[in-house]
Amino acid sequence: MHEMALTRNVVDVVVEAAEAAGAVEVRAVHLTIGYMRDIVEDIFERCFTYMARGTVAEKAELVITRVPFTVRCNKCDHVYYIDVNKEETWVCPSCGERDYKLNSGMEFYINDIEIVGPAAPEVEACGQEKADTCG
Amino acid sequence: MTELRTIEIKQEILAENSREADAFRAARRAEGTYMIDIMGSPGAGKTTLLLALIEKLRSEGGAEIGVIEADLASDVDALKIKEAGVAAVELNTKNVCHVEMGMVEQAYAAFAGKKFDYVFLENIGNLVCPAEFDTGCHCRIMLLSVPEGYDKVYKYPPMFAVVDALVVTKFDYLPLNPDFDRQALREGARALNPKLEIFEVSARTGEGMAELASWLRARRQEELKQA
Repeated sequence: MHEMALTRNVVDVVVEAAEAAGAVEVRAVHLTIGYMRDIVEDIFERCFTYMARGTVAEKAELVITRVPFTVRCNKCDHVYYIDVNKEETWVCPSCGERDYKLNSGMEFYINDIEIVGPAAPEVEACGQEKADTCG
Repeated sequence: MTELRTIEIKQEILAENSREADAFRAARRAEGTYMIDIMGSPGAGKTTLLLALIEKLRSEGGAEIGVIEADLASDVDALKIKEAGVAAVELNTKNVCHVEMGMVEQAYAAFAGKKFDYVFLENIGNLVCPAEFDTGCHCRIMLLSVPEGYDKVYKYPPMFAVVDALVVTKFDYLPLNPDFDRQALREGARALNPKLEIFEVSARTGEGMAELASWLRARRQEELKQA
């Protein structure tokens, strides 16, 4: 249910960056989301499509990379996966300690976007298409 | 001439909410106000625990306390708190399943400059969505009642991972729910969150309430020292 509020933030950031770059279309949005985030990808994608309608990002494909829940051993620095449903995963497989801190799984960010837009500014600082705005 | 190219963004999706939350936290700390987010399912006993906790904090040493009552709709809980003589503002999310910073700031403004030692935010009754959003509080507490069952940690892990304390409520019901495996709850919760504080309380009998209140008092002192 909260996917809608989250995709609104994604659309705002994406549209702002795309428009600043003069994009006519956003082809893809690359996101990284940890598994400890309660995100249902299907719903997230549908909400994005809904929130992005009428913007340059309305046809964008969401490419989501999920990151597993891992911890770092406080004793030997080993990084390992844990599963709350499997008790045998709560102990460091390297040194046998059960003393760790969260290493990954809470990620929630936008990496980059693929846009169709004017060629990089240094190639054509003030091209014909921009004649209006360049006065 | 157009071309296909990639623009690097590298931005947290909730960056704006987190920025607002950090600023809000710092402003409250500077005023000596300690903010506590109370989360849990509908019926976990959030309002009842809050009333008992407020009484405890007031009776021992005295404290100015305010409550922000978040609800999808209705003002039932806010009225209960006001009836107990506590300053309360209602935060009606209009059916949104969680609380965000904009809502907290607006609700807090309704206190109209009144100064508090503690302000509790009673979050929406929901074991999933509220965990995702920083509400600008100094401390986050989740409630799990004995009747709900110990296995919630295995079914709804994220909230257990983000809170500072787990308060097991309705502990007086333990004899009625012999399947409630305290050890399994403890183990699972600490697997997700090794630093998690766990309290077992009953607002009705008062069991465990003094420990919870003194833990909060110590947390507040610690927070204010950093000001």
